[in-house]
Amino acid sequence: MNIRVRLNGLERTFTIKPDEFLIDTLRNHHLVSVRRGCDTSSCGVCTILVDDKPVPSCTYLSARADKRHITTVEGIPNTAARLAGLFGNEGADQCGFCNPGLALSVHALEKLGATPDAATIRHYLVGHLCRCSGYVSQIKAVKAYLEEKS
Amino acid sequence: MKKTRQVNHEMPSIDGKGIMMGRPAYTDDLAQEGSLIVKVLRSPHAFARIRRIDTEKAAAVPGVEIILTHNDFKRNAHTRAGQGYPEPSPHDKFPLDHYVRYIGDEVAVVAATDEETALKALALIETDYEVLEPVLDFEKALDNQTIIHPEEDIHEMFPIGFNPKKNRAAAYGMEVGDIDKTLSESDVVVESSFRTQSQAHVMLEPHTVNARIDYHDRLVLYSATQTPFHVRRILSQTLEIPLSKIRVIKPRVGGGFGGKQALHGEMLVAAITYRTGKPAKLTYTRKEVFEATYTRHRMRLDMKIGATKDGRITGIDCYGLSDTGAYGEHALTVFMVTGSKVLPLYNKVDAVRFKGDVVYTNRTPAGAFRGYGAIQGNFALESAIDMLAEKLSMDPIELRQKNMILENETSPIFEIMGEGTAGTAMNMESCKLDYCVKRGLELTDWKNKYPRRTDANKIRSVGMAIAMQGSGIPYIDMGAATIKLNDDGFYNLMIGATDIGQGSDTILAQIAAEQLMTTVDKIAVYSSDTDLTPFDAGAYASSTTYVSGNAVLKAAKNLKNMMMNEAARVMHADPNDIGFDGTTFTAKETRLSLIDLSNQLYYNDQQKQLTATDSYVGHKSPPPFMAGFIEIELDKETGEFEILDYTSVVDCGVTINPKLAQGQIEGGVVQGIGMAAYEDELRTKTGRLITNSMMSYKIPSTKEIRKLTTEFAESYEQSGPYGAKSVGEIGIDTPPAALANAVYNAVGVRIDTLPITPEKILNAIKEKENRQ
Amino acid sequence: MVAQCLRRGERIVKIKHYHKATSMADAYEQLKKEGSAIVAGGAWLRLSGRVIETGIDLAGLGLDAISVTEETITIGAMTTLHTIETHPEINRLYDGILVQAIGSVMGVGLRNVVTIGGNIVARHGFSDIITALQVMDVTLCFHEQGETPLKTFLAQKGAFNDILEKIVVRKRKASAYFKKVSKTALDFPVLNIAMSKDQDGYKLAVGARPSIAIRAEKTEKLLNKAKTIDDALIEKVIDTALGEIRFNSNHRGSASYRQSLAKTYIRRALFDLNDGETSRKAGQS
Repeated sequence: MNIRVRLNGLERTFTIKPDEFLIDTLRNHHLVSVRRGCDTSSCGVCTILVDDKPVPSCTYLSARADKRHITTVEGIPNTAARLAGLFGNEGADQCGFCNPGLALSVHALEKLGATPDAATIRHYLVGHLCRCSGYVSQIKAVKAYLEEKS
Repeated sequence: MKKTRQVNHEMPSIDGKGIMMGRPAYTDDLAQEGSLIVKVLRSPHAFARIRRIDTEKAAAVPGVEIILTHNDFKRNAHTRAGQGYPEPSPHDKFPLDHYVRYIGDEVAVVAATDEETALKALALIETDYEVLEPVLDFEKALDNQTIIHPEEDIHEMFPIGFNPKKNRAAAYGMEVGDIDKTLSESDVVVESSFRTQSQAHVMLEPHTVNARIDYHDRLVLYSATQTPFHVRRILSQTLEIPLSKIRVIKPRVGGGFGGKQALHGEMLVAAITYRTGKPAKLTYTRKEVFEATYTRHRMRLDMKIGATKDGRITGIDCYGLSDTGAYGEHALTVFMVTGSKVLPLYNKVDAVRFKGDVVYTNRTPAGAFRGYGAIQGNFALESAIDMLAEKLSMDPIELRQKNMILENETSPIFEIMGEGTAGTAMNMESCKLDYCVKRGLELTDWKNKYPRRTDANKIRSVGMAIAMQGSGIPYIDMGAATIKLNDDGFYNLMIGATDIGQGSDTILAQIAAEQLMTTVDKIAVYSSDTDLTPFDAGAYASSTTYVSGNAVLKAAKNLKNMMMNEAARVMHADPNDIGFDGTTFTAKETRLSLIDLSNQLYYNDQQKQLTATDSYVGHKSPPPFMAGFIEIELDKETGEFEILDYTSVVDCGVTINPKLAQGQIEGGVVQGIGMAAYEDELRTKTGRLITNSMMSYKIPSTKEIRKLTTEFAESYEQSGPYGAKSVGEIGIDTPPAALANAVYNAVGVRIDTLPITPEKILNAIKEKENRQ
Repeated sequence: MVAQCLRRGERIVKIKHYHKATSMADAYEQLKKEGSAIVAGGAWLRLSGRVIETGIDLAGLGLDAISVTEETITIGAMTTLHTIETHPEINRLYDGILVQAIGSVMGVGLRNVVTIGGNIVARHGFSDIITALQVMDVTLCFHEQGETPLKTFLAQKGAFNDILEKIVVRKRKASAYFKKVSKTALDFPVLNIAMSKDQDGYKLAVGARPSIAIRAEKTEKLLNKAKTIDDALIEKVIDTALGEIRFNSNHRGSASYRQSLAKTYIRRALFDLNDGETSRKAGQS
């Protein structure tokens, strides 16, 4: 079956299987920033935005994505670049495997408006596991990013 | 100490932006299009012999390219451990074997055009197992009726205590003084056993490797590995492919922590591509990562510490039993570090003994994992020290300050214990442990918080521990660097050192930039390619900053001298009269820019390519030190606790990049907290892993970690590059003991088995109340 | 079922045909066919390892709306958890315990996929949402069996082939308490409890025992009969609760630990719902 989506601003048509999940559809079409971290929707690594909402792409059926807007980190280069700079300021830049998914959630959080505090940021990003940074530096960087944007 | 411009300066990593922006970087991103998909058939039994395996039906599935079983491999015993050769690990593994030794062990491998076909074929492989009685309890492994490695064609490379007929992978023992006598004469002796669990690394990138035959007809592997050179050697020796025909490239790695310091899929993927001529790739599912890669060695450590009644520690006796699982990778070396990077903390004892056994069991093989024995040993020792303080009615800080190792001191253990072999004597030329403790007490307001403050059912308490680690393995692990000068005056830095996310590409560029008096953006880094970069043992044993860093420093110095000589030639001056500030050479009246010189050297006159290569092997392993302090709030009605703060004060010499060093400490601390409080492996009675997903195995999330405070001591290690020591592992060591001590300070119960859970705490509280 | 999911971690669901339902009747007809299944959010389905002939998608049927009247909040079964937890009316409902319960489930990303209908129909023992709903006045509306009180549905046995369309919650002036005990913020509960007090009296539900939340009805009667909440009553309440609620052990906790937790948190719930004013001394919870 086919789905038609708006991927990072461009109309695309994908041929998919009924039980295909977006992570594979996207990765098979060279969006290598969408990566797999686990088998059980538990880590947040594969997060993308569907209609501006963060979702785990490993758990989102491609058939469901028909007519929707999909954003991968390739579609938010300015956010990603700026966030990377702030991560660098805090020393939160390590293996990076969790970064693209996290950047997309931060982008979604930014679009929601008001500058959140650390507790709100933590709550919104808790689904993004990180094994390298110890989290505190990440939260500082995200807070700095959202403060810049507000 | 001269002021530095690049070193000891915060700067973002050179790759952070590209990674965050999602550019292709990791191993699977670089797989060749159309690669065969490789799937492994894994044993459903903890211990069995494959009586018969029939792949005919499976091979007939359209799209299946090749299926391999133990019948297709020559029996070349090897170790998968990424260590210097000859390895201190038993050669007890075959590419595929007719025995399977844990649930998840490799039985056969399929390569097909797509995943669905490969899985279909996997399901059609017919197997007939003789199911054998497994050994699952490591305390019953030694001399068990079941022999996990009965085969005759396995061996150790040199004596490590390998005795498979007893299920022993390795053994070790050393003694200084007469410990039994010392303890019997001590006023006070504390004795206790501590148990640690098989922690899983849970690096976010599952293990993955892909291979192809390039147009030079060579086998090229892209692997998420910490040790590309060791991988190349082991593949060559085991598959009998000439070393010159293999190239191993490590792309960006999504976390290793030791879990990628041994071969994973490389052997089978290499075999498949070599035999078929076709590109192939294998990515482990998360379930396979849990079940079939590596874990931390679980251990039981029996500690005895003796002291005089005024608090001088007289002797430490530690017996350890370590579980290495089905294969013996890192068996001896992890066990030795349990003693060698822990016991010297109390260096002024009259006697010390460390001995024990590393046994096989039919469980997922254990392997390298940040801390590498030191975290297990630290939990036991630093818990016992607090117990000793209690028995002496002495403040635990005072007890430590009275006995811990100080600058310019030494310990006989350094000379006796290396990693797999004898060690290297060394004085602590840089040791700010005393400062770390003092500063930590200040930062945490320890005086006002120790031991606890109670508010209704919530108790706030503090606990601490001190730790040490190492900086590389002296005389064994070598790192090298090549720097070349390009036109336009920029450099390429080629290093074997493996960046697995810890930022080695960046800090090694900083060291080069410092020496060449330039900035990091003028240095293009390329690393970890067995063809194009010089050798490096790999990212382990906290080597990179110290060993690889020194190699980079030497190479950069050489290149600078070469550049100065060329400048002298061009400027018709004496090399001794040349000044250089990173961009310009000056000689009396004349000036020559580096850009001009480099362009001339490429295109104009007496053209030559300036390149310098140099290597470094350590002559000692100067330890970083750390004091870790935890503050918790404990609910005494439920045992639940929250971690309010973790404060780390660290001596790692000079920090090449303070922010990246902080990242190493804080990441390590949180992994240590995971081991202390949340992470646990569970198996069924038949040995099947229950906690084989990230749904059931829980690492800390951001909500568990409220506050981290990290500071570095002013310290300078003469033998390190610009005064640096390594910093990759030490962060992980202190949380288990610090937490155990904090819980004791809160409610007077000592949990000696990790993880420290609310249920264990509540049970202990109840038990204590019942006794009173 | 959960254990199977964990074991089958790699065996992702197979769906042979995908059918976008054109109406509820159409969906119900498809569901009657052999090997069919409703695809709600798809999160648990993904891990089931099942082979499904036809996956029936309810996405286009307007079941993802929240509507509010004077007396009720009606939530479509296909509404995602995150949509529910960010709705202002839901935040005001029963002291916000439904938002608290939903917010404790994994992360925002997964809550943008998981639907309330999928969560309720699955009847997982560990469901925090069901525990919170148990102490509210909740009616489920199924396509065939119509309006069904939540409690009744949870007690229904046997294979279930109906389709949940919406959930109706009565708005009440109420105070409520919810607690989830879990190892980390992203883990399943060791135990969860909810208590509410409204015009009809107290409701108490304890879940993740590890089995699904049940109402402690004898305990509720005891509370509702009582004139004052004093120490003696609280002890009786706890005894009664522990007497009528069964606990078991699993790898998250032992039965006796769950009992200890229940004791402590029922007491704390009562204290909380009585504005910290019971005749117990202040400072004891």
